[in-house]
Amino acid sequence: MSEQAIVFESVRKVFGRVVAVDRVDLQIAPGSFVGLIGHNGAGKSTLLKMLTGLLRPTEGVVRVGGVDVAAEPLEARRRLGAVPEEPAVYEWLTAREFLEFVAEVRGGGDVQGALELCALGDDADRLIREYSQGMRRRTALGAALLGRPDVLVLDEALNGLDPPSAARVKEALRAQVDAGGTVVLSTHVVDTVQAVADRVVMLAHGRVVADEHAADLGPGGLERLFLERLQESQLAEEASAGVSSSN
Amino acid sequence: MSDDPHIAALWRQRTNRARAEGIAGLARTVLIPLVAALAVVPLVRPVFLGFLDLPRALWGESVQAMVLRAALVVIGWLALDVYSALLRGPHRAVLAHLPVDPAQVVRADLLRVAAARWWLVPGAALALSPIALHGAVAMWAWALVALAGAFALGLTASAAVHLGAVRIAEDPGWAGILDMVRGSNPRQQAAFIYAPGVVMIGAGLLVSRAAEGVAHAAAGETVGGLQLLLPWIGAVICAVGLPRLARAAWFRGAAVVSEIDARYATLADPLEERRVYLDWVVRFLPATVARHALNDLRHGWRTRRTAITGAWMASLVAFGAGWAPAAVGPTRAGVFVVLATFAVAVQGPLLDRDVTPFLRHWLPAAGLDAAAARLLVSMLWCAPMAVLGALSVALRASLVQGLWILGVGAAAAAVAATLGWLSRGSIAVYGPAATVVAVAFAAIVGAS
Repeated sequence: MSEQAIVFESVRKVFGRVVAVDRVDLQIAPGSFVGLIGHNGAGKSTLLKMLTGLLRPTEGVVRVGGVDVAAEPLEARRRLGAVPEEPAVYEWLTAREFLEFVAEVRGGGDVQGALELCALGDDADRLIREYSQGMRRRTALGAALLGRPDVLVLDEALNGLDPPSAARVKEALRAQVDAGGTVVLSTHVVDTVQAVADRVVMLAHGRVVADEHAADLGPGGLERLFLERLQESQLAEEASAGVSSSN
Repeated sequence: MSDDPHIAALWRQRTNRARAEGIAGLARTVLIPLVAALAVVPLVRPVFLGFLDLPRALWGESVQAMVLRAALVVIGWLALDVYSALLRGPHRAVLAHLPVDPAQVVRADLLRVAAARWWLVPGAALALSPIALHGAVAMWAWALVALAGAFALGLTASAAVHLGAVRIAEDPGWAGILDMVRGSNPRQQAAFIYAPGVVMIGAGLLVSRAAEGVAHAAAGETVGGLQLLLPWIGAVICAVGLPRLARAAWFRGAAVVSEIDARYATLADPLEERRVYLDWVVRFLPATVARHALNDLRHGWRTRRTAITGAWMASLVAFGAGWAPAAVGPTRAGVFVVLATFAVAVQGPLLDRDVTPFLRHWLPAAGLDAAAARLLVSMLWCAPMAVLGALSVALRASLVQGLWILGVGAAAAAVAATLGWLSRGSIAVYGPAATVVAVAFAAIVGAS
């Protein structure tokens, strides 16, 4: 069996009495573009934080390129690039200096190419603290793309981008996938996912409620499926809560 | 330029910032700390260095006590800073997803803290300069060696203990003990709550020997030199162990911190997640003031928790300052409470500085209600120092003098909060103004 790019094995994450992620099993092959969607609080960010090593699963294992993220954090990060929901950058560096720093940490990367890809060429030598939110996000994206990591994880990464920037970023992500890389994009904007992803994984109340090929869904199909599965999941949650309270 | 990318990036950030800020940056990082230390000198002399009026043969124990206290302040300050830098600093979010070498990251973090707090030892040197001016130059110089050792030990021991705390927070073997001492905090948080105390105790043992060595070294005794070396030896031992500890714990630190924060946000009681230190007070306030007070309490606790909990640590120092013979205890406690109160009250202008231009425009927190709320919140955050200072004075001297300390603390907090409010978020205004007012205030307290 060829090595999967990402594997979630019976992953569960519990905070006190709250089950944020409930026994998720997922396998994502290299060269996939996976859209992760769900309502607010569905468990998307928790799942991605476990994937990037910022949280440890309560149960189960997360692997990237065969490496257990919790057990071998450095090896896992060598295979990963990530843009969190609130991108963090060094504000007192210019974008060029920041990308040069990241390239050095990653052991290489085309800084000029990343600057051009993220449309930062003209502003590359301004301090990041003078940037708008969208420009900061593009800088973080450029940093994540450096060194072409095997797996790219993006949490709401297209938020705050103007249409030309968003189109350019989507192209970059597609190129990454075409070159054999794997992209996981989390968002609650259904249209974005259907436009770029090959595969759609839907989370509701911490569980995977749908895992479909985007091409099979047809126009508007993803939105219909999303609403339908969300309603089913809510009914199941309410029924489960009713059973718990009556016991 | 260093080969280490983290140190190179740190250097580049500092250079860019210095260039962008110009003279204001120089004032913030160099002039204000030095001027503050100089301003404190006339105050330190009568309150803490009264022994200089005695024959020099009797100075030994007093110098030892002064050096120990100053060293503990240095170590406590660095322990809080190192915790923030290693576990809560903004650059952790930048590096958390990258395949960094944690040993390099920790080394750069310690350099960052050392660069930010460079003035601690020179400031102490200025404050203790009356010892040299009275002719005991060697004793003053050896005191500086002890304080520099405390600085080095404070940095490295704090890093070692906090990285060790990450391992303890995750270790099932420690779960029972952490559950016993965690109160209402998540289990992992307990490991970090007590870490600064562990640093203070461990490093304190070594610097107490070094403080003892100051007088011996000044007298030319070899044992003094050996005692002065102890903090440096401790610092070297910690530094040697740090790379291994960093590689074992730094990445895990991100998971532990995320776990703590996430757990706070998903506590079973939905009201619990919004609770912060002292927020119960707002129940007793008029609604128009309560709104602003709650805002300050929440924002302050969530963004500047280290500084606010630092007031608790300072309150222990205030207790120690007051725990002295009745002739000097109340004065020492009073002076310390005033100075520490003005330092903690800097949170007021910092809260102002955090307000974004958008909010400042659309939801201006001006007017008497907001000012009253800020005054109350600042006083509450400063209160532990006055309360514990007053308690020790009441126990060692008299109840009346204890109440006097309480009054001094309340008055200092009110003046500092008002000054902070008038500064409107400008540290460049608050810093010099607070230094002058605090020293004058403390001088009056010392004289009375």
